[in-house]
Amino acid sequence: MKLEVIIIDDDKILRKVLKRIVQICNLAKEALEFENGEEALAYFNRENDDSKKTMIFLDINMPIMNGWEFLQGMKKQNLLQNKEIYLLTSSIDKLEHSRAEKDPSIKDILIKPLTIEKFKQLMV
Amino acid sequence: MKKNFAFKELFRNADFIACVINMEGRVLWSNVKAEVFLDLHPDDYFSNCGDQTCKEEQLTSCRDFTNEWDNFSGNKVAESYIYKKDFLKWSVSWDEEEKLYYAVASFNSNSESSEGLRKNKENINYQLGIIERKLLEAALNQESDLKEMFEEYIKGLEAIFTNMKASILRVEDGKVWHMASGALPKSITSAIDGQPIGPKAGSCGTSAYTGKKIIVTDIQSNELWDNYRHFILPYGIRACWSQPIFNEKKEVIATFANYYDQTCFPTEETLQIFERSSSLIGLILENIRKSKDLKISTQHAEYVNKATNEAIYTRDLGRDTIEWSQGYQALFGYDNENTILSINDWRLLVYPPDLEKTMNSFQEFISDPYQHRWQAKYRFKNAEDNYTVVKDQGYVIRDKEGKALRMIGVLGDITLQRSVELKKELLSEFSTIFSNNDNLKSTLFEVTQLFNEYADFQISEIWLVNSDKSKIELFAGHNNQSDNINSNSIESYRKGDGVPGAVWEAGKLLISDVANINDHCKLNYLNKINQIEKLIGVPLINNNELIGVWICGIKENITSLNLFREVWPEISGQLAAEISRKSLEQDLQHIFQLVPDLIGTLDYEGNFKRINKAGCDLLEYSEEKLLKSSLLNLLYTDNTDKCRKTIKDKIDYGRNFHYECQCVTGSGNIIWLNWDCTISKEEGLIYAVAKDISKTKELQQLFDNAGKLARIGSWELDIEKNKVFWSQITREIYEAPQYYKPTMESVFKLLRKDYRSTMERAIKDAKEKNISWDMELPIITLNGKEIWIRSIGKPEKKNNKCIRIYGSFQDIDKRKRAEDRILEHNEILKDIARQQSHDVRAPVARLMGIIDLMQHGGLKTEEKEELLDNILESAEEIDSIIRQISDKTNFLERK
Repeated sequence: MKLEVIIIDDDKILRKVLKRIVQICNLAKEALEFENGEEALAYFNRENDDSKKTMIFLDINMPIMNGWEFLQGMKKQNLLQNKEIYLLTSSIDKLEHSRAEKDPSIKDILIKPLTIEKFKQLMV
Repeated sequence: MKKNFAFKELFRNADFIACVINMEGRVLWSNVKAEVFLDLHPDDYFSNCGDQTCKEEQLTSCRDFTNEWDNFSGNKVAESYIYKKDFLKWSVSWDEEEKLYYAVASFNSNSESSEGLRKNKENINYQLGIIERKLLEAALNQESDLKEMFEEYIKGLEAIFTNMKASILRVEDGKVWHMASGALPKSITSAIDGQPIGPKAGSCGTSAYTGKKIIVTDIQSNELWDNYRHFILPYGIRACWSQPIFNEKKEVIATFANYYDQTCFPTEETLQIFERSSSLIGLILENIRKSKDLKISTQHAEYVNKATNEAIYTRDLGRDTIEWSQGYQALFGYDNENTILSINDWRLLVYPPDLEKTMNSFQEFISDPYQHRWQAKYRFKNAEDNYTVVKDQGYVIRDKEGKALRMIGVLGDITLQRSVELKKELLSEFSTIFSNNDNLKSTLFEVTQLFNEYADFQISEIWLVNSDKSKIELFAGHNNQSDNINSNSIESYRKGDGVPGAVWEAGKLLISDVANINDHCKLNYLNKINQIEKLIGVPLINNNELIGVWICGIKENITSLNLFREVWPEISGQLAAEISRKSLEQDLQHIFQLVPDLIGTLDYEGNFKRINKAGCDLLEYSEEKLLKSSLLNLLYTDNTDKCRKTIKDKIDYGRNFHYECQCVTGSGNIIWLNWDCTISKEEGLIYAVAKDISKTKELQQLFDNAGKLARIGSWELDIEKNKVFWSQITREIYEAPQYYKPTMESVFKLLRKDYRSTMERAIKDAKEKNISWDMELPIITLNGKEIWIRSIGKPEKKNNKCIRIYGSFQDIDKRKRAEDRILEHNEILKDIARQQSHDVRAPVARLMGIIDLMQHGGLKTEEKEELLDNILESAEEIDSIIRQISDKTNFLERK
């Protein structure tokens, strides 16, 4: 089964680093990048393929449309089929963590910095 | 006795001497004529056997007579005889049974000239004397027939004067009826009967009509006889004189007439005899009438006696005897035989404790020559050895010098009347005793003494049920002679025990024979037990509640017991009421004296009329001093007149008022007093209670000051009257002038719009659900300034209905604004924190990610160099962010 990896974060450098980690960890040859939730939601509206397993690395704090709003949009348009969502955050704010834990569509929370080691463990 | 009485009545006013003389020659009684002639005076007959030497002479002369009579009479045999001595002619009758002489004497005439005539006259007089004495004797005998008696007399007269016939006619209703007519033919007497009297009705009819002596010397020619001579002349009667006989009222009751068979003139002598006979007949007729009256009146007296329960007595003060008449037997049950008592006998019959008082009162009365009436009440022993309460009323007869001779008295049984009086006296004594200021114990002690004095109880005790009604306790006792209750005595009983407990249980009067009560119960009365026979337990009941028992011990004495039965229901009821009242009064007095607040009464001028101890302590003056001063003088004020007016206005306005004022105490302290006054217009008094509120006032002052500092005011919504009250500080917070009158509408209007609904809801909840509130709200003052206040509200309910809401009102604007600033700062600080967590952490995390990739990613050199640029980029970003944080912090500090 073909795996699609999508990175949604407003930090250009972080996207670059994460894309390389995905390659190093053999998750996928390429990963799709989006600067905010709106762009990503637009992509899924356009290109959604339920049969494809998709890993989404989603940042929370983004301009235009943040991570929560994106998730809400996905739920609303019923696009979460076959999607594994990993929440990316640099915040250690407990409120955000507890909110994430309550959301069943979120598979895990990854606290930045993202390292190769963390990814390897994630893949196990 | 009867003869004696009749004799006296008959001759009391006769024209000749009459007297009763005993064997010793003592004149026991004499008539008016004898008094004048023999110089005897009324009442002397009682005393002439005494020591009076001045009467000795008369006595001797009387003895002389009687000594001679003895000779004549042949040693006192019962006979009558005539005896002459000096100028008196005595007609004496000896009564063997009574051992008394009944004597009458007339004057001898010395005018006779010729011896023959004198002898004739003597003979006539002698014979007249005999028939007169017979008539008198017959008259003295009450059984005698009047007609027979006079017939006999007239026959005697006709025998002496043979040429004369006589008659006695009775005059009644203007007509004449023959009573005695001697030798007059029957046809004449029957013709006379029923003839009217008149100016020309023969001798008798005319005499009866005119009341004058009528002498008709010749019937044939005298016009007075015109209508009658035709039936008298045929019987040979030619002359007639008639004499009227009068009664006491000067009415003609009879005529005495002499008839002659020849025309003739009366001689002086015949006229004398004629008048002498008329006068004797008159005396007898009058006496008989009086006897009849007397008999009727005696019968009346007897009936009255029977009806009134009174005994009549005559007390002879010379002999010191008391002679009882009717009533004595009926009243006291004594034999008829012992009707004469010596004073010593009488003394023994008077109840001993009453004797001295009665005797003293009598002595005092007797020694005052101007007193005639005496009255006393005492107890008198009857034949059954019981005492009756009697009222003794006497009238004393005194001589010219005022010396008491006799007393006629009436003794009445007033036992029942006495019970009414006793009740009155006791009730009056009760009110006197109870109205004094003594405590209940000493009051009841006096009451027990009173019973002993009035009712002769040997024992009198009052037992009262204690407050928890577990026992009945001896409260006051009076053991007639010894007041010391012995050490073994019992001072309390349970219900049902002893006499007091038994009465308590029974709730009614119990009379026990001392012999039947057990020894234990006698302990209290050991020294009296032999003197009493009955113990009486009287329940003292007030408002249907038994409050105590009155125990009294009496001797067996039916009178006392009867008296007691009469009086106790009312007396005990009154006593119980008085005890309850006194006990309540004592309790109230205790409360009055012991309450910590001032209680007193004042008149409208503020003068103290009564004040309790607490009041004296509070004002630091003695009671005496306060009762002489006015509250107005104690006020701490420069304007007493204004205070006086304020108080006066309050009195005029209504019944009760409330007043706060400052007073100066005796030691010069100034205290705040809070007066609650009730005005009694009927009494003209103010009933006042005052509390020292100096401490409260101080606290109030402190609170006001604190309120001012904290800017806390108060407010109140009167739901019933729909009124709003703001305190001074509340007004200041609202910036409201004094004249501004807040309303419910203004309360809402002066809230910031967005809070009006909050306040409406709070008031609704307070009214309907009794919920208090504590909220912070922005108001708009009357000057248009918005400030924050804290409002606390509390509803008050009455009869399950909210009548008012009241609370505090605090200006919290400064605090509220400070809070707002802190919130603002907090936001900034939160912002800083957020930036710190996100903005700073993001590039740092990125840096760490890059370095990790470089270390472990197995990257080519070109790739690593490219990543080094990214590291630099991130570091610059971090630097920029830290600068921003610094700027924000500086900004906060500047704020």
